[in-house]
Amino acid sequence: MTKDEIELVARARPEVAPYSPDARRAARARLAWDRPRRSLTVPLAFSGALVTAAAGAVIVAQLPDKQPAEPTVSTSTVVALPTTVSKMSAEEVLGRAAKATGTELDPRPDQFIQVSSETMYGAFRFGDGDQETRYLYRTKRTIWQSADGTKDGSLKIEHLTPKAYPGWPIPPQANEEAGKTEMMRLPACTNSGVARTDYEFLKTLPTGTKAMREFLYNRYDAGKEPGRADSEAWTAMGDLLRETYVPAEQRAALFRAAATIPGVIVTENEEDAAGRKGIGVGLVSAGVREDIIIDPTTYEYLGERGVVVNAEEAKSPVGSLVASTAQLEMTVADTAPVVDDPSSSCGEVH
Amino acid sequence: MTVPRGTLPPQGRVADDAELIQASLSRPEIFAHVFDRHADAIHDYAARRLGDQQADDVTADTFLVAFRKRHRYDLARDDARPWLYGIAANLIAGHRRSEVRRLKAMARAPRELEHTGDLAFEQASSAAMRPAIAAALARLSAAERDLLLLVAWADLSYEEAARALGVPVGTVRSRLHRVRAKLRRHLPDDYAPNGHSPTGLSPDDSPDTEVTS
Repeated sequence: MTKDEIELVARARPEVAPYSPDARRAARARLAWDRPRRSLTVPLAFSGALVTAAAGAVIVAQLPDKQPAEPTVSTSTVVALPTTVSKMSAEEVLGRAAKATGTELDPRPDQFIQVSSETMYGAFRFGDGDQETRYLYRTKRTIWQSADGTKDGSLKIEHLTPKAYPGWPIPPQANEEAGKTEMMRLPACTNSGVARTDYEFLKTLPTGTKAMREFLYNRYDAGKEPGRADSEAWTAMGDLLRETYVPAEQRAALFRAAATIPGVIVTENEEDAAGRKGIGVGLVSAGVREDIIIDPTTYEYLGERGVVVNAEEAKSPVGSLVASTAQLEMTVADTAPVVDDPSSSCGEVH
Repeated sequence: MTVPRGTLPPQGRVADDAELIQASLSRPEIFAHVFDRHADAIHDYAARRLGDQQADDVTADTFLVAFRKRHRYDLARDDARPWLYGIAANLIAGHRRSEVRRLKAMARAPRELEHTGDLAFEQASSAAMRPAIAAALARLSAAERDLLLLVAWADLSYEEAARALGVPVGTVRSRLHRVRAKLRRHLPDDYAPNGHSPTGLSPDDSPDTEVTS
């Protein structure tokens, strides 16, 4: 008889059925179209060889006058408008956003929520010889998402001319996709778990501040990572609002709950990707203030914005605009464009 | 679906997990290789703890969470398994009640199953786990069970388990020491891996008390 109790448990390992090919395909396909997020923040955890590579990059970022060493396609950078810190508190701004009445939709389960937006996010590349390159890629997107999540959705992406990431030379390959338009199928089978943002699901979210707050803090496994919980909760809030229709009651709870996240600050005189003026409400993560932009008159959600507040952490000069989006139009559509895209198939999922 | 072309190692050498994750920063589709490499193992682990149905959800969520956190992956680590198992363990922790219910149900498995001694028994027994072990597992705290099963069922080393759970390796050692003692106490004296033993847990004996260390 074995004396080691751990060995006993190891030998009692239950036999399990193999991962079903359908479920496996569905899980894999879900990764393929996960929407841009997190690209707002700069990698935190790099170490070893990459720290060395990045150290060179820091110098570039700190000496913006220095001529870039690499050939550049364009040296234009994006500079944020001067901002003033507001006298309004986050609670006040988000409280008004919670009470705002916007365009309310009432989709049938068989319909689609259609949202168009303009986006700019950072593209980070660690390529040849551990040389990090960065630039800002820009797109116009239209997404069709099944209201009850049971039908395939579609995504249209038009690639716009990229911009330089402030403090970084723009790499030649940044322009490869500019001008191209692609269509993607968003398979219904991928709409589950933490990826769910369909209307039927959003309708079931809590309408109370406390319950919504708890939902945000548990949305990703935030509680398990010390020091990350607030920023994960803030990210969860942004992920729920982006390209979705959140019903009025849940939206109100979302804004009220967001106001309770410690460290959330208000910045006035911001602008979204479409040039609309707004009030920024955000949380700093990895040297970048990640704002949502609220209309100063109607208090509706306009878009998102990332502004560098710590040059060392973000490896980009303070004030640099490193993410910017504008949500332009949201309507109900009877159908979504059909996209023949076998690569995003989930197999025979019923 | 974002644009730039990442770089993978020259052909002929297999990229390690860190290289795949690094490349996936700019080419998100490359993350699918990380999925291909580890999805089955993560699924097996989740299925052992929660059953097939919930294992599908946990596995899908593990890789989605990993994908979204890939910017924060420590690229000095070639092997992503501890990181992935850590994410899976966090997600499984969200199903703690159902795991304990399942273990208790196994602990109550009809005794006669154990005495048939034929192939059917072997299969039934291994599929459902031996009642005495299930009973003992149900009595551990969630943190103890997480650690024990990463070592016993996912084959992680102490160092890897420490990384997965985000605790110092010293904590792993002391926690496992405590787990051993608890198992010794809760497994019947005559317990042998292939022998017969009482279950040691009555249906309402429910000490899944949380112990934090």
